[in-house]
Formats: sequence, C-alpha cells, structure tokens
Amino acid sequence: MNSTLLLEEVEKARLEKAELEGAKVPAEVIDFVQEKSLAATIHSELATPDKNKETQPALIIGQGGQRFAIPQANLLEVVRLDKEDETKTSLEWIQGAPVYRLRGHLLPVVSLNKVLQIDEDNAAPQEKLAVLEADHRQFGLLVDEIINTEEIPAKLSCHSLQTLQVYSGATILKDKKMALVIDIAGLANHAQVTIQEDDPSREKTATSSRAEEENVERQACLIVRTGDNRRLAIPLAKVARLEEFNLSSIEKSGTQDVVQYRDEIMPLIYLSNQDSVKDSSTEQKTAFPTVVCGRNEQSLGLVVEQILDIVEDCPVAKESPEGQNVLDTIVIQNQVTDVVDVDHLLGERVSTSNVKLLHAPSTER
Amino acid sequence: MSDEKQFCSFYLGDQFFGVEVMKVQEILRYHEVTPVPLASNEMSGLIDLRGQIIPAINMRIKLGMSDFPEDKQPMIIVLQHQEGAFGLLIDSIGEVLQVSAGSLECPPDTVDSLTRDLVAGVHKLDGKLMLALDHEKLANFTWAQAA
Repeated sequence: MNSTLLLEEVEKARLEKAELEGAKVPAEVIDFVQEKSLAATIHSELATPDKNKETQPALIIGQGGQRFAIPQANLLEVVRLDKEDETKTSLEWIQGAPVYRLRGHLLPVVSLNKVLQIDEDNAAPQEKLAVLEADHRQFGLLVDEIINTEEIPAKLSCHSLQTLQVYSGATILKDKKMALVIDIAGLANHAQVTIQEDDPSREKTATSSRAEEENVERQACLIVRTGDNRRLAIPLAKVARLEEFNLSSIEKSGTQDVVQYRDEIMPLIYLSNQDSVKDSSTEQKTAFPTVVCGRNEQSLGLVVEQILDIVEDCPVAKESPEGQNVLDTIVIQNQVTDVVDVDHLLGERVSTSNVKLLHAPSTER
Repeated sequence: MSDEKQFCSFYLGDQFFGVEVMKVQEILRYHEVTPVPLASNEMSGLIDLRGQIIPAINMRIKLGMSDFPEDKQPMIIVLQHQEGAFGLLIDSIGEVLQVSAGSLECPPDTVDSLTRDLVAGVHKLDGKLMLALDHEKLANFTWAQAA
C-alpha cells in the first residue's frame, strides 16, 4: 500500500471519529474517502487466494462459549456419559482422579475447562466425553458441547499460537466463528496425562511380554492388596465398577454380609484369608474399596484393602482345577500375584462372605 | 528520501504514541476479538480480518497500564510484518504526523522500562511528546505467559 492510500485510511478513521463527535465534514471529502476504502476492501476479498483446498476433518466442540477444533485423526470416539442410566458407563474415580473405562481399558480423563482455565467455576455437569489419542496415549476429554464435524484447512492459520503447546493454529468455521485448533499431543502434555507413572518394573513387563505376544494371550488386570497383605489380580474384563463403601453400610443377610447397591442387595466377599474385614488392619478406616463384579442378574462385591494398580499386559491365567477361587499364581511387576477366579465366585451361589482363596494342593506354596 | 518520516499517531490513556505509517496496513473500528485461553494477559486474542486471522496485542496491558474500560471500544491498528500482520488495540487514533529526524531524541530515563523497550525514540512536537514505537520490537510478541 502506498502512503497516499494509507493516509486516506487514517483520514477516514479520523473523519468517522469527527462525525461521531458532531464536527462538520464536507460531504465530498467523505465520499472520496469511502470510495477508496470500499475499493480496497473489494480488492482484498477477491485477492485472497483459496490455494489450500486441502482440508482435514475436525470435530468442533464448545467450551465456555468458545469454539475449538479437534482433528479427527486424533479422535477415537465420542461418548455421552449418563449418570442415571446404569447400562451406560460413567466416570469412575481412582485416588481422586477421574477415569473412564473403555472396553476394559481405563482411560485418564481431563476436563477441557480445567486445562484451559476457562470458566472453572461453572458447575454444570459435564456429560460429553471425547476419547482422544496422540503419541499412542489415549485419554478422555470432558467438554460442554459437541457441536458438529467440519472440514478445516490442512494448513492452519496463526502458527504463532504454537508457542502455546495446546494449540496448533486457528481457523474460521463455516458459521464465521473463530475456532482454536487443539494440538492433542500438546494438550496431553500440558494436562500431564499419564495413565501410568514412570515405573521401571512396568516397563520390564511390557518389553518382555512383547516377545511372547504371539503365543500368550494378554489381558488387563486390576491389582489389589488384601487385608492379609496378599497381592491379587482381578481380570478387568470381569470388573463392572470400583466403589467405596462405609463400614456402616454393611448389613447382614443370613451369614452373608451385604450392602444395598443401586436398587439391589449385593453380597460382599472378603478377599482375604482372614475371617472378617473388621478383624484386619482396617480398623482405622471407615471406608473400604470394593471391586464390583458381574452384571445384569447379580453383582458381587469383592472387598479389598487397597486398589493398587492396573496392569495392561497380564498373561491370561490358566485354570487350576482344584484351586479354590484362585486361577493361578503369576508374576506381575516382579511380584507374586494370585489371579482371582471371578467366574467361579459369581457362578457359585455363595452363602458366606468369608471365602477362602486357596491354591490347589499341588501348587501350594 | 529526506530525513523526514511519517508517523501514524495514537493515544493510550493520556500518552501519545506513533508508529511508522509505512508499516501500517489499515486501521479498524473495534472488531470482535476471540480470546485465546492460556495466553498472556497482553494478548487480547485473535481477529478475523476479512478471512485472515491476525493476533491482537492489548497495548494498554503491554505498556503496564490499566485495561480498556468495559464501555469503551478500542480501535485497532493493523501492522504489516513479513511473518504475518498483527493488530494493536489502542484508545484512539491521532493524525498522521510528519516528523523530522532532528526532533528525535532518546527516551528519558523517567520512562519506565516496559515502555522504553518498545520505544525507538521520542519526538518533540508542539506542546507534547510523541513516543515512536519500534515496529520490530512490537512484532516480537509471544502468546506464552512469562515463566
């Protein structure tokens, strides 16, 4: 732009300001300036080339009244959480952190409004979860609204935004609103999303298992500690929910301890070789973690001392025919762990809460 | 050319500033600014300028002043730059001034350091001083909050 045109632009702005302030400006001057700026506007609209026809599909989400775009390349699925309906899964909590179970796989969950520090005081329950993946890490993102999908340019505007690791750029949507495009890997880093802490023993399990991957079936297991300090593994596929109950909510039905749980009476089983959860070191605690197994007809609560971990690559235990409620003993994270035979516990009509977990005589330690 | 330069002048509070006219792409009445969460306070956000997305700097915050009042809509000076245009949110536009190199002085030490980093020089004009801002230094903005 040459300086004459620029001066006109400046003059125009000044004239507009003068006009508003009631000063008199000659009409011809106004016309001349307006004509020039109109010409400049038309010229720039036509001149903007639509070179980059290449687009990428993106999911448009809303948070705090703003729009954000998530490249569909990172999107695995979208879930609607429903706290009311039991058949739909919802958020669960492990040691204060929200997680979501996706087909046996526990995902850490992050709230978009907390990560971006928008509207943090908004107490509206968040029910929409986008399951995302970047750098082989999967996690769930809680958002206010899922708006629609749209094709956005493959080459984004405003690369300077990348100094904030959560963004890869910005784009203007079809409805003329501006959307910030989220860099999923950056978001995961920023939110410090880790489902597993750095644990050398875990890494060893992962690498050694890869060698045997073709031969041995793998499954995810929940690792728990019992009142008598045993480590047990419960196949995650059998786990419906993780709950915490108060000692005060235990009631008796015959010789069995039960709790009232979601409109049913759920029997409890104490996974320790002691006689009662009340005898063990849980005297100090008033709440105890319970692994709820089974679906539909009857749930079963397996009471433990502490939920330790989730391990992805557990070898599937073979059934040990004479063992009592224990499938097998395997080594997980370099520690001896018994795998609980949940099917057996569910199948048998258990009439007492004090079930012994024993090995078959031949494999007894 | 002669040792004269043209500056597009503007006001921020009661202070008078200028940027070289040659660097100015255009001047806008207030446009909607989309805020960028997690960005530093001096970045107002992004502006949609006829389909082009440009960053907007809140010059009041940048120069350590109080923010724009709610009821007053700032004007925007769009500056050109090889790495992309960017906008400055300001109170109001002044005139285009012809300034001779002779009236340029170094900023006095009384000017606070925030401002001094951005100022190329001070021009004495009739009855007031214009702080000429350094276009390159302005273009060196960053979205990230200071560590």
